[in-house]
Amino acid sequence: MIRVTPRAVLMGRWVMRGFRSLGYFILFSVQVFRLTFTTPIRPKQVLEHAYLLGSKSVGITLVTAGFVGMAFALQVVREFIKFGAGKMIGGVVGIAMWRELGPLMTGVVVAGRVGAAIAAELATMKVTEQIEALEALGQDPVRYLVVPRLVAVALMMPLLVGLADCMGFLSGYVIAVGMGRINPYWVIESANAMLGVWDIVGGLIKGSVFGVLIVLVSSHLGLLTHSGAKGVGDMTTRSVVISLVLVFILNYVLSSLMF
Amino acid sequence: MINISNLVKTYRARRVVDHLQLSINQGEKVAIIGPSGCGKSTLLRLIAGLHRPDSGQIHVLGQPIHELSTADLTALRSQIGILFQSAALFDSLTVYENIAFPFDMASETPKSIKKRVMDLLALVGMSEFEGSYPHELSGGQKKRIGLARALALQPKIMLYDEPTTGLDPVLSTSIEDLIVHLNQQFAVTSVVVTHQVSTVFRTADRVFLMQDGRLLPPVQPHEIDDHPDYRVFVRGGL
Repeated sequence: MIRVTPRAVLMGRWVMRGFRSLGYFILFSVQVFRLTFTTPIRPKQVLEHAYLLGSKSVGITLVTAGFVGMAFALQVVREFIKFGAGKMIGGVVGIAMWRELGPLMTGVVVAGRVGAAIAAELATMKVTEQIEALEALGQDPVRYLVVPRLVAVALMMPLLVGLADCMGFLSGYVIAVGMGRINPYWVIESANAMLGVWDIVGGLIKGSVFGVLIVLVSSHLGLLTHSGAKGVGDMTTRSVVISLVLVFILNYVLSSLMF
Repeated sequence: MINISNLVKTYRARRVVDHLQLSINQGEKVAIIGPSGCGKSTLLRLIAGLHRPDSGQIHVLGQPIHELSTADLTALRSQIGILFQSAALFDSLTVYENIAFPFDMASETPKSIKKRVMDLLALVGMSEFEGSYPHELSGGQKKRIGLARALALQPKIMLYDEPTTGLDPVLSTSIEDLIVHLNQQFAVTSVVVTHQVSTVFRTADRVFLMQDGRLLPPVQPHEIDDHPDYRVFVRGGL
């Protein structure tokens, strides 16, 4: 007979809990997608969320992308000049920003700002009986609260990523021309030559996928909340952490599939 | 109107509702009393279809609420109003928007919504607060607005979860008066869950004491002192 140690039992429970949570998340996601495509969407609600979740993230997205672009260009300029490849800097910065850094940094910003906001708001509504009040008034909380946010973020993410890409490239351009003394013509020309349409479109698609994932994770955890203020805090933190980890994992998967 | 038989609900291995039986007729005013945590609020949520029972049957307005689909349950809920303990107002919406919410979801015209909201605000005596946000209101005011919102869809049944808990005697009395007024004016069946003795005496025709997940046989408010279990709970063991 196999002897099962307490540690193995604990680990088994942990694994089972993980699978159960994953199952609930998948069921929730299926429900959200079904409602998104089968029920009428209220444009006013989507616009409100697009403003609150999207437009208000523009500033922090631009600042983050700007500094990431500058830091990346700074490192690349030094090394490329050493090897006489200064003319390629524009293309390298462009590819890095459009394919990877723009979508990834925007995903990180949105997970921290928007994901936390969604999780905290829904969690607070849950512990103050507002979700039950919605149900009592004949509304499906997922349809009323999650679907408009999902649509809003899915629409706003490509715009945010596009702005981040441009800002990151512009910052890289400033560093390459200002500090690296690279001819502006070569920065633009190499970006023109190396960047394809798919690099840009693929990055925007990645951004949308990240946005959808962040809304699903933060809404799911928000709606699962119980046990008062502590529960709200815990779920908000978990939502940000899980969203960030998933964004990085998904970024790798999508990059390997798309580019 | 409400018929419950053999209702069971368990949370984390704790049986909160245990083979409970209850029958409430149309237009009745019923109070359910019991110590905190005895399952009163859970019973109310089961009647409203907000929680699913583990077993047993709940018939509300002739429909088996325990086996309805989500769509049918949503339709039935429009005939059941519920006043939550915390009032559960949507804190991102103004008082006006909170009450207008059910009408807005039903895609009524703005003019019709305005009239109905103002009527409901007048009914609960809160006409001058239409532009306020929930955080600007006192506990009693929130309950009045919660009541107005619950009444928006003209329910046939009103469920009150601790409607006067935490309120001063004057506010409690005003809420109790409203409950009685609604029952008399609109023939709304009311189920009040409370542990406030004054609320029981003012709002109920029949009183049930909930103990160990079950309801004891009902009594009328004036008979409370004649029944030891009720007397111990209401009079604090005297």
